[in-house]
Amino acid sequence: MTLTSILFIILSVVILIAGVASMLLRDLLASVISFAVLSLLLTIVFFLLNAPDVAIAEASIGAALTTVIFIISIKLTRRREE
Amino acid sequence: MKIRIASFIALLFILGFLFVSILPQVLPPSVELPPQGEIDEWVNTFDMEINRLGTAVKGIENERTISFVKNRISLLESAKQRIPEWHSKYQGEAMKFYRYVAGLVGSEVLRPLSGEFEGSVLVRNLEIYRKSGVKLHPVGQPLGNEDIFKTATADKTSISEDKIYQVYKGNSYTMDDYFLRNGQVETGSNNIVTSVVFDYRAFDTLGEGTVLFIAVSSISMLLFQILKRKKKGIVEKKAFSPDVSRIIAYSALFLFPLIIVFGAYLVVHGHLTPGGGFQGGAVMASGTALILVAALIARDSKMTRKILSVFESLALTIFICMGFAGMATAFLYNFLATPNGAFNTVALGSNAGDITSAGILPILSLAVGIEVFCGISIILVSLFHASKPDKGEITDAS
Repeated sequence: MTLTSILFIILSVVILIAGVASMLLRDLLASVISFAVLSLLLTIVFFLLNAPDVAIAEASIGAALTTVIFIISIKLTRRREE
Repeated sequence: MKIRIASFIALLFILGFLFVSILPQVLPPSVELPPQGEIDEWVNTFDMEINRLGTAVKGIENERTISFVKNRISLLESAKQRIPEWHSKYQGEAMKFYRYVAGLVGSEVLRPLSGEFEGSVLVRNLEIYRKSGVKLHPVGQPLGNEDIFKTATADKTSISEDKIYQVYKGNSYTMDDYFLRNGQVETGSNNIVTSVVFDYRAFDTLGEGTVLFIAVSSISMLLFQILKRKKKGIVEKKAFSPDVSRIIAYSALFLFPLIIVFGAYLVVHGHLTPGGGFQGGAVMASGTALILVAALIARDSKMTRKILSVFESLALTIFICMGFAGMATAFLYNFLATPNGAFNTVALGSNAGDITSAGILPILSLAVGIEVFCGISIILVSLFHASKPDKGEITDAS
């Protein structure tokens, strides 16, 4: 078992946790932040899979732009889910 | 004021970046040219190969095969003219040069023909590299079924259309194999992903750009009334978050130029290194998000949005115009990727290539980059200003 595969497994587990957290959290801001964490870790996974093109797109769109747009939407509506 | 300082720093970065990238091409090469005898030897070899191919073409009846072989001949001719340049440029790694030539000889149609080359320097080099176990560039690797190749070349007396067809049929390669083997030679782009996105599937990219354009238009239309209403009673200074932390404001001041330069690098070098129009445009747009969050722009954004929308439309127009420019052959045909042209094809190893290579790919990449940057920036700026509180409804800012 190489170092890369260990890193891969750890990343996959954390990504799953972040994804489930972003679904279950009632605080929408926390949910968006965990979604950003998911995207950031997914970037590393894409890079490990030799897809730097996709990794750059994921880092900028998934981690930065989507988060900003979501946060603005939360600001325009309300923060907590009922 | 702050945004002016930031844009000034960005301008300095971009100028420095341009200077550094142009400098090696302007300055004369510091490496000495190889002795004239060596160049002559290579030129003679290339002449021989070109002549042999020229005689081989006469035995073929299929028009597509003829055009393919003629394309290879033109590639060989362009390679011939660049021998001194390559020798001086890649003195330490002349292997890439040999790889390129070996790849030409070893690929597709030339492979059945390469019985004709037996004993020549090119084939000898190919064999040496094959035996030494050096991993060749995809275009230089043996193709598919070895047995069929052997049967096709066993009889060296004549080259018939049937045999070439047989080899083609035997090599049941898939589409991605085709892109990997020929993408670099055909488009001149070292990044195969960009060559697929902006050359083989450029029409699809045009569709994606149009979809983004429509999305931006509809978002602007939705927010138009809100922004118009806001304009009357907007609270200027106390924007989204009334008191932005100084840490965020000043780090944004220094990060914004770096992000913009990195995005521009991704766009401009899209055909050489990982990246491209979409990725670079998205990275630059995240710079816009940063300055919005740091409240470096606090005033009304009408002018900003106007400029951004003009550039977005202009970029999409440039993309379509580039498509029509190659209309003599086909829509979005890569008409600049001819040997000896301004944006010629440079097919070398994995990390070589000029910035002025790959035909219309860099231009399309630039157009898409500007379009994505401006489009996403319009969305962000509109949303951000629409979310500003009206006069009299400032409540708790948290």
